[in-house]
Order: sequence, then structure tokens, then C-alpha cells
Amino acid sequence: MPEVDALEVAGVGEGTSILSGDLVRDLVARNEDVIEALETRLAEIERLAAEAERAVRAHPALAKVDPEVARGMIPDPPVPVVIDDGRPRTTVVQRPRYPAPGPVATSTPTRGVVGAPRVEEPPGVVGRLVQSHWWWRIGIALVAAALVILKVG
Amino acid sequence: MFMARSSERLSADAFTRASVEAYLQAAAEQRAKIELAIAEAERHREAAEEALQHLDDVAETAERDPSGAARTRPEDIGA
Repeated sequence: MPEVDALEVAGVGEGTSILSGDLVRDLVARNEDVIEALETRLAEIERLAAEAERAVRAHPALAKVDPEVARGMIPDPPVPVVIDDGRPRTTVVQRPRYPAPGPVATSTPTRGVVGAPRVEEPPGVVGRLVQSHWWWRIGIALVAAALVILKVG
Repeated sequence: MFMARSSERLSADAFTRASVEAYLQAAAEQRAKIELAIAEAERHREAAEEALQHLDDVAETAERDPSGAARTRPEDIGA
């Protein structure tokens, strides 16, 4: 709606051309009616257009049509409007509405279930050794070597 | 949420003609913008409905001719 705050209230004896408050209120009210009706109509047509576009995308015959023709049938997504007013802006990343899946403590195997969160098996003894720090590995190797030398000796 | 209309917030006895004219000018510009948006949305709707009609025809033809000989070419619909 156009802002009415810019409408100047006229004082008595200012010598300026004025319009009565009732007339202005009537003008503004009628204008608001027109704009509201136009906005309602716009929303309705946009809804119908979006509905028809969705129906085109979901139509089973779309795959049967020549790809070039099909591309022409599917409207391009709206281009984002670039605002370049010189002010720095931060990028807003849209997060998914559903919470991110966390690890689930379960004994049932989840392999092969589409979309199921991956559950890490706890590493075994060898796995822990492999994952351990490098000096642990050197120490274990030295102990193993010493045991072998003692057995051989 | 309820928001009072601008006309309900105006309570003065009189307003300057210049400011009322500026308001009406801004209102006319806004109406023109919305009318343009309506024309654009109408164009989108008509295009989508035409495409939908065409797809219905293709589906109907495919039902009658399952061999797929009636595959649509761009020149068939003037694309």
C-alpha cells in the first residue's frame, strides 16, 4: 500500500491548497480497496499458474514428448533479484526443517535401508591399534619384535 | 495479525493538495506494478495450461498408438 504518512496535515491560515480530511479518507479507502482487490487477483492467478506448472511437471506424458519440447514446457525457476545497494550482506543458508539424523543405538543392521542413519560399529582390538597414535604403534611393534627375538633365541 | 488500514489511521481535518497528489501518484504506480504482475502471471498460467492440454493429447495418442510412432517433434507444436 502507498504510505499515507507522507500526507501533510494542513494547518489553518497557511494559504496552501488543501483537501478536506473526509475527502482524503475516502480517496485513500477507495484506493486501498482497489489495491487489495488487485493483490487478491494476483495471488489467485499465481496460485493457478503454479498449480498448472506443477501438473505439467508431474504429467506422465512429459517423458514421451521430445526433450526439446519438454524443456519449453517446464518454466524456468524465478531468477533471484539482486540487490546492490553497496551494503555488505551475509549469506543465509536455508537449513532443512527436519533435524539432522544423529547416531542411533540399535542392534538391528541398517545396511540397505534407504535414508537410515549410518551406525558406526565399535572398532575391534586391531582396529583400535590401527586408529591409535603413531608412537603407540611403534611401541607395539617393538614389543612384538622383542617377543619374536626372545622366542627365536 | 490485524493491521489497521491506512485510511483508518487518517484523522486530520484537512490535508495539503500537493501531498494528496503525491500519494495518488504513488498509488497509481503501485496499481500499474500489480497489473503488470497480473499480466505476467496470466501469461504463465496460459502457457502451463496449453502445455497441459498438449500433454493430455500426447497421452491420449500414446494410448491409441502404443508403438510410440506419434512422438512429438518441436515443429508439431511450433516450439
